[in-house]
Amino acid sequence: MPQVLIKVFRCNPKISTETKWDTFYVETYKNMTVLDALFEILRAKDATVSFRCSCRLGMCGSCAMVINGKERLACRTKVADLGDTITVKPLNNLPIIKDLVVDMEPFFQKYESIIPYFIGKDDEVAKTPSRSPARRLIDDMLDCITCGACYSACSMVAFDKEYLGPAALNRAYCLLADDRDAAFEERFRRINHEHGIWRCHTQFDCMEVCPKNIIPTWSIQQLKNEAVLRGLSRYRKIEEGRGAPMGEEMAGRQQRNNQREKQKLEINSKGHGLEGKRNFSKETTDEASEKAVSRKEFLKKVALSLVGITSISPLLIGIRSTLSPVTVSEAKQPWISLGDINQYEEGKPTLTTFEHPLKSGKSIRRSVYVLRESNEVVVYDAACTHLGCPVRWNEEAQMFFSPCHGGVFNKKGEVVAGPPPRPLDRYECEVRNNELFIKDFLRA
Amino acid sequence: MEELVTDILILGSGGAGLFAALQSADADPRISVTLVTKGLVGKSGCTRMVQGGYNVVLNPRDSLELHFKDTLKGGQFINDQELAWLLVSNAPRTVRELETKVGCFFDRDEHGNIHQKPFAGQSFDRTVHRGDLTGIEIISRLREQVFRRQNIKVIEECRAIDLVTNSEGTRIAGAVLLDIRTGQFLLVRAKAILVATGGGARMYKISAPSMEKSGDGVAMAYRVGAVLMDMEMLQFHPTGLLAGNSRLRGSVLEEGLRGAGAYLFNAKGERFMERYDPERKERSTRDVVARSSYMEILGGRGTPDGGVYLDMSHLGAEFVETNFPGMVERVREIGKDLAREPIEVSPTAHFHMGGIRINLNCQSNIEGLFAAGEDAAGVHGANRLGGNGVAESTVFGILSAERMVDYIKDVSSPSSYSQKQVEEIIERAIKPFKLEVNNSESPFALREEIEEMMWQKVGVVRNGNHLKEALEELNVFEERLEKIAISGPKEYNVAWNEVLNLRNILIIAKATALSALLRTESRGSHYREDFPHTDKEWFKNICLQKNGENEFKVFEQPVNFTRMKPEDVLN
Repeated sequence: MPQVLIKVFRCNPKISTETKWDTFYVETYKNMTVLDALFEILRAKDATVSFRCSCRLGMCGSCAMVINGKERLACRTKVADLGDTITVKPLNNLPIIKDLVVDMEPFFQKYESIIPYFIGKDDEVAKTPSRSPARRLIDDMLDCITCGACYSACSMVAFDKEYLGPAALNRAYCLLADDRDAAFEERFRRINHEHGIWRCHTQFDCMEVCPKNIIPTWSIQQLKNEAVLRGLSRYRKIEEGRGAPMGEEMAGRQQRNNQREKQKLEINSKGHGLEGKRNFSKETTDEASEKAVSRKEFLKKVALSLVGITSISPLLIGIRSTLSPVTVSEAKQPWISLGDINQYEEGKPTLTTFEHPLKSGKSIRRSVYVLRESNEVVVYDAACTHLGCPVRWNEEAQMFFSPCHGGVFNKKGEVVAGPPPRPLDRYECEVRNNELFIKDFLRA
Repeated sequence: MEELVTDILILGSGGAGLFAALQSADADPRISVTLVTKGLVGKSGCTRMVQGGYNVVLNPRDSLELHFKDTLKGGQFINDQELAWLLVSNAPRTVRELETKVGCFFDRDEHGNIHQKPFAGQSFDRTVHRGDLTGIEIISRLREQVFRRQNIKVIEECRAIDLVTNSEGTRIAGAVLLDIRTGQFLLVRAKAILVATGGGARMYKISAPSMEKSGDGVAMAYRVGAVLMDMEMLQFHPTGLLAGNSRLRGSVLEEGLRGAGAYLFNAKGERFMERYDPERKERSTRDVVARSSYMEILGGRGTPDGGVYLDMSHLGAEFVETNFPGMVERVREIGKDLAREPIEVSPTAHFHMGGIRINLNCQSNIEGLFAAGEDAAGVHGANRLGGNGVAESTVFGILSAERMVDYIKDVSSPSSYSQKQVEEIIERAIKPFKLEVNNSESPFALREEIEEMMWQKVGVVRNGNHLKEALEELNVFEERLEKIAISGPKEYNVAWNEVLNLRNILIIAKATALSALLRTESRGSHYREDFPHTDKEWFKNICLQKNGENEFKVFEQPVNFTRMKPEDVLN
């Protein structure tokens, strides 16, 4: 069997913020996984590499990491499928404990905030048949192993550090759709806000990396539909002490479910045939019910497109829209560090963030793409030049896609399709002592 | 060193640990519960890895007595009958609680009742499941419930190094923990401690459990003088996946496959189970099927990779893919198709029936030290039925918590402890950092040797000579382990943790080999080719206790047939 070169990200924040790549040649064998390869490194090359694992069969989600630029479980990723060079990095969007081990705490704090636990209503075991319409809505989304792959891959998590993220919202969906659970209203309140369901931009990053083939985007979309049905057609902030304006009991939902005609929903090649949409809304009066019916008819059509009703985008960063690039006097252009240049992979735009200070003393987080090619570094602003939605890089297509109105840019940042009026904005950048600096061109 | 005081300390976050934490926290909100887990909470241990399901009597045509008889038959009558009865009689309420309070949703039949599937060694189809990956549902939901209890303090990626007692060694006082992330030690003082860290089946080359499991709870309890029982009884699951050197090796292809009608063939194409158990064939108990497969392999009728073939293709590809999607996916990892072709399987070390001897209050002979789940002995006797494992960990998780809550009512504060004992524990734990690193061997390489030796000499088929050799070799391994030096920072040091794992594994391995040498008969999972028959003289349990530094004190205790005699069950 051939050798492979494995590049392992190393960092021990307890000692220093320095990061580096260690390279190891590993002899491969049949069925070798990345986890096997890491153990081989421990056994024969360097016993100080840290990584996390437990079940080694894709059941516990402990060993999620970024392998060749994509979030995967190390135990379920074959070395033979990865070519002769393999890069292994810790998950994004989470603090590093050491090397490949991240602190999952922020992920689980958000998970906890949606009331992820079941609160039973009944002491009797429910008589719901398996694969009945009510269960089908949940079953395919239920096997989450909280590995954090989706949280790491989601560009909206990178953009908004308060965003609950795909896994938490998917869990909320499973419980909200579960007839047996008693915490519907409170849980719905906790996801129906700008850092909840409305922050999802249907980019499907989560679906692409989920090792359990769950589609959180779909779950989140169902919740948005429900919110819209409840008369929340625009994104809104929930203030402390002001609950959602809907008093709703879940009685009768089941009955309605059974009446609904089944709809087959074919989603990509993963073959999720999800049938039977669910609608949580309770008609309080005949009139409302009539309205709801007409809405339902409408929803049936749009929900099938999977993008359902796109959230009316929160104004992500203030509309920078079609203004020409901002020019600012030299004096106001501080250099900002984007860290060690070596953490950015050659030839692949890598998303990172920095804090942009505001006059108010607060700051907002900006997302940028860093592209290293041979000796050149380009830093693009991640905001689409049309209306400021954050673009995402698609490795297969070698294009940046904007989630909102179909804008597409190539690797050079040039507009390929859609409404954007100009190429992606670039930052002036410099590399000093292996550290990457950019000039912040935005006005506070 | 940081010191923490708690009422109840729970080590382990599998089914037993999590349920015990929830139950204690709910019993009285004033009770402080500390849950310590070696990996991430709910992500370590084997309950999550449960595939097949959960044995429980729910059908009016089934009965507790039948489940009880099956359990004794499987255990070859050396079970602690009172513990086995606790298991079968509490399983129904526990499953109901999992559904209505914890939020699990198990598969249903067309009428909406909980579906129960056939499992080997059972007189009734009573195994509750969610597809073929039942554990994920149980443990995910249990873990989420921990968020709901404010009086549970969770400490993740932290392992207990050793237990601490009062100066007489009669009562538990606390535990010294190592925070894996920081490399710092921590002393937790507690009124009661539950060890629920799982067993030591990982000491074998081909094994099923999750990777961090190293029998820590049993080894620590042994070091403070707890009595161990039935340590020779280590179950080999008959159908472990063969996958070369990959860590997929040994992963279990679930019991339900044989329950559904899978065949086993040797390399000559013979359905060999017809010879070993003409009546039940592939649906015989795990010990019989594992041993039969092993005999075929030993007899030169094995596959190229040293296994036998498991074949489901005659059941129809669609049936297999519909009912066992998790297993189909797992086999696909090695480039094979479970639904359409024979798969190479081998016995794989799976579950330790032996462990800490407990009474009906789940308490060991050390006051305040409780055990539940795989750490405890007695429920399963000489062999565990498929589907009784997760039932045990959840049932006894709840029961042990109830007993601990009762126990601490009369304990005003955690017992005093000796500072010297604590210092010695830490001294010993950090010893590898003080040795010369040059020329030190790798703990990972040493582990491979230990696992290979255990597989060869204390494996599916045993004999006196091999077992004696194994005991000698284990002593040599112990000496070598003491010389291993560790470098690098203490933070998240995987190699250092491996040394600590091996210290525990070697204790479990020695206890297993010694008990196996003493039991001069074959029973359940324990098979001696020099004593191939089951002997009525051996209705006894072998017990071990620490005696000095490297000595075992051994004694036997006759089985007390409190509910049924073997002849009552068999007739």
